[in-house]
Amino acid sequence: MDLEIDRTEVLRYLQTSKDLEDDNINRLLEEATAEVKDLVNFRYLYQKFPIEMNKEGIKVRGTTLTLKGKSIKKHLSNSKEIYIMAATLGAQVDKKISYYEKISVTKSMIFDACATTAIEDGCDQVEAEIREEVLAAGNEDITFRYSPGYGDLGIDIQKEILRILKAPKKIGLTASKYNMLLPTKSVTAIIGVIAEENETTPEVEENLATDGEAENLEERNLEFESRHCQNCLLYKDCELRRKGSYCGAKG
Amino acid sequence: MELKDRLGKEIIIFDGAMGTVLQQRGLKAGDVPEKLNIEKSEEIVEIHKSYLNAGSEILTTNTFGANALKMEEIDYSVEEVISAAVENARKAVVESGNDVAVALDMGPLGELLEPMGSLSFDEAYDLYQQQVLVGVEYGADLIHIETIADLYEARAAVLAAKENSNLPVFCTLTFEEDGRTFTGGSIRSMISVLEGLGVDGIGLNCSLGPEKLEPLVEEVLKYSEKPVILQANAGLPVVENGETVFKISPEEYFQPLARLYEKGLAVVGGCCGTNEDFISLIAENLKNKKVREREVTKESLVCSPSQYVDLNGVNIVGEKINPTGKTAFKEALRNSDLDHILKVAVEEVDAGADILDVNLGLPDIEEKEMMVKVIKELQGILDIPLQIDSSDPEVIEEALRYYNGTAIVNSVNGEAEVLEKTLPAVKKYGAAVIGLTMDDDGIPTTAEGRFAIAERIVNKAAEHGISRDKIIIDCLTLTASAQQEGVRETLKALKMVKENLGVKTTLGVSNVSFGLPARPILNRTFLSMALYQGLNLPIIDPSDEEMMAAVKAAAVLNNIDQGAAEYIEYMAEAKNETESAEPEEDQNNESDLQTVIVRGLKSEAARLTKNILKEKEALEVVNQYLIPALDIVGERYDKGEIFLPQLVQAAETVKEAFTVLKEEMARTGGRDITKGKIVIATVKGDVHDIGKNIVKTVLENYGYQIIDLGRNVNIKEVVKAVQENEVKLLGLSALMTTTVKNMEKTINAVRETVPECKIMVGGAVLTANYADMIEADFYARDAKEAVEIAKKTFTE
Repeated sequence: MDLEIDRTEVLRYLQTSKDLEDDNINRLLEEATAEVKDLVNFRYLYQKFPIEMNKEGIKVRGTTLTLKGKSIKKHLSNSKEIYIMAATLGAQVDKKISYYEKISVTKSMIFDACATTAIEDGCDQVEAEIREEVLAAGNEDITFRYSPGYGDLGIDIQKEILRILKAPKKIGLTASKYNMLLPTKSVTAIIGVIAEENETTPEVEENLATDGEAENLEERNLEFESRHCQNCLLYKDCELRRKGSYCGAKG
Repeated sequence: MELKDRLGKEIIIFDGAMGTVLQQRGLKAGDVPEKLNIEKSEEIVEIHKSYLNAGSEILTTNTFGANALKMEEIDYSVEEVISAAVENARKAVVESGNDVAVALDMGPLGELLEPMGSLSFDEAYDLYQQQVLVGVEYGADLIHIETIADLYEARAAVLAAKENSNLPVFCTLTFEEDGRTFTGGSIRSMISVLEGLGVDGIGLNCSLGPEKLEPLVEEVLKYSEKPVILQANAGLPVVENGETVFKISPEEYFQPLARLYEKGLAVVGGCCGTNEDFISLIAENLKNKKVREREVTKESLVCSPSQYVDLNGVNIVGEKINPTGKTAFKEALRNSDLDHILKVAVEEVDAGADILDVNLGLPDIEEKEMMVKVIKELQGILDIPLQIDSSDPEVIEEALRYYNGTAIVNSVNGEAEVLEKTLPAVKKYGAAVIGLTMDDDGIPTTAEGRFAIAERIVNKAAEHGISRDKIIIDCLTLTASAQQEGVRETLKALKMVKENLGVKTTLGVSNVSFGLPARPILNRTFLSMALYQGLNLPIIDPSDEEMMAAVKAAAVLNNIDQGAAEYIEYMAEAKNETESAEPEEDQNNESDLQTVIVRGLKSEAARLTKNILKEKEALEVVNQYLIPALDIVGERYDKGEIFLPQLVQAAETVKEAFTVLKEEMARTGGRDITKGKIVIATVKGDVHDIGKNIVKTVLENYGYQIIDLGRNVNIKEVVKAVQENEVKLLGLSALMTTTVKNMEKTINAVRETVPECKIMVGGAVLTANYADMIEADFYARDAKEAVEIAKKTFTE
């Protein structure tokens, strides 16, 4: 799978303007883009599971996993099946980021942003593959990918997710004692299968505009925020959201 | 016949999969199979028996993940699980009446080791040690380490097995189709390292089917002297109706194994997806058959996990990681400023070194501690093999333990005491070793005298079980101006040891010209002469292009570089580099330092600073140029005219200027320009530290001396650094909600011991509220705020 590294995305992670005019930075960005593409060893896994609600949460059948919390419940409210996915760029990218930290912090930042863009693009492609499979089976759609750490879905399920997919053995993806995914440029996520579209109203949109955070409305994407940001623990403090440039999940 | 006696002579048949068989029997995805040793022991015994009936001669216990890290998630201890597992296997053996061996199975720990992860080598060792001790106590016959992707983890496991048992040790790694492990490890490095540690069997398991693994196993058969093991998967799994299934038949599985048997495979079994049918077909065809003889290609490798160097050729050893005669390097060592050392290393690698010599001998530092730290840091960013250079056997032993790969030890000499103290560690860790041709009586004047010492070293090494292909002799370069006749003796001795002892040779070169004019030409000529005599490892400064070219040229003329291929490539690259040197963006001499900083033109900054220094003092440069430029940059950043990467770029440009100023200060002994010391660290558990590095760079710009403890830093280490350096300000960074707890603990520990030290915190998950909650003094939203905090703290 070839990964795309879109310049605009990289600049968004670097929190600069879209049309940055700085010859040095632009040159480093081009170099880093080529290097990241060369170094990635993109590996991914996904598997489909039926789910059922019980009083503890959402039970993933055939596994030990129960997804807990309000946010994931809402996310999967239209789903009876889910896909669990895991993807990683591999360990060499991390090593190179560390390398550049010793040579040039500027380059390491840019390299890091390119790698983040690459893993997100990889996940987009995996998601597209899943969508295709889901539609072919006669379903309506899929939900966006929901990762541990979003909303109140804890990251303490990382190890269990990886174990279910046998990710350490199959793609070399592990989680540390602190539930940090390693290699660092990696993602685990849950995607719901939507059998029939069931329009939920984006009630948040109006709230957003009236709860005292109405700044910068022309730059922000309220529909996006209602889908992605509203359950985030850092919702109130998020500088990125105020600027209308969003983190991890794409804007 | 005992297993150990049969190994390598007769085929030995392992069992097949345990995990996938348990899953077929209803084990849920994500569940811990090891607990079934206790909860469903009958079922485990039954699976073992099925393999015994199929013809297995080794049973592996159901303990793949039975380490304390993973056992935290179930209600049983490591001891309970492993003892039950060994007993289950033993029970199957007894009940079936076959006398077969029980192997304690040890898989990966499930967490990445340093430097990629946060688990330390010692922690990994302890986890494996615990498993080994229980396995031995309950009567395992063999230790089988398998499915390892990280050579460092394999080293920890093998050392734990060898240091805590007398049992045979097998070790198999898992590779992708391209012949690399997930962490980048190569087959040749695996062979070098595991053979060096003295495992009894070596090979591959898991990942792919036997057909895909065939070429990789062939490589092991070609280069390894040890019995070779293969336990492949039953092909690649496919998902059918939500179930993972393996599709290839036992017959398809066996075909590549039959071919590999003919090439010398010694131990064979199955991994994921295999079952008793696979084993039974293997047993029908191969049981009790003689292992085929094979020819092993002899090499002398030193390596890191991903890079290896064959000492048989000519390879350049970079000499610059060495404090001797270098003020800045000494200063860096005293301040634990590893960045300086790492930069030197990177320059050497870029210049074309094949191996780096690492010498950190300075009387007033803790050499052992520093050596381990530097080795880990170097291996965290570079792949080049290292040469451990110390005169202290304890430093050498410690370095060898933590070095990931096969290292060169520099050095021993003919003194009996030195040999006795150093050679055991060289043997234990499978290192190569340099022997200097000198002893208690000094350096013999004649070639014959030096040859005699070399011979003594070779013999002594043989007594310790170290073969000649791991020995490198240094006949010692003398200075032409002082001992002119001695130069020829060195060259003569070199040829003698090379031809008569069959060992490798090394020389430090530049000593030869000391005290004479035009040293480079003498060095180059001597180097060429030595290469003609058979020098393998010239120790030189790889940034000396003339010397490098001489090495490449000699390789052509001595008929080593076949078809001059390397020479041509090297010369083409050298030409390219001179042509494409970074464009000088601004040739205008009037462009002042401020503009250069604001625009982030790193390469210009040093030159301009030097110019200005001709007329002004260092402190004036700081106050009249650097600080105002930084203020402009900071202001533009605040206004949103420039962005973070540009701020950092400007900061790094200022750093170039500061480097020049510091050199000037060191030279003239002028007034110290640093405004104060700050310790910074990313807390235990976090291995991601770009944010911290940005803050560091910017703070350095404002004249603060930063003691950077790195990432994943233990609480104790932070407290120690704060105490010893008497700093007024500590900066801590945390990236994860889970590691903020460690930040809080670190703060508490510092408060207890050094209450007067102020603490600022930052990082992705922190907020001002959070910072208050964990009782930090300041929350730094970004690097700029960190500077404001520093200013405030140091003016109080």
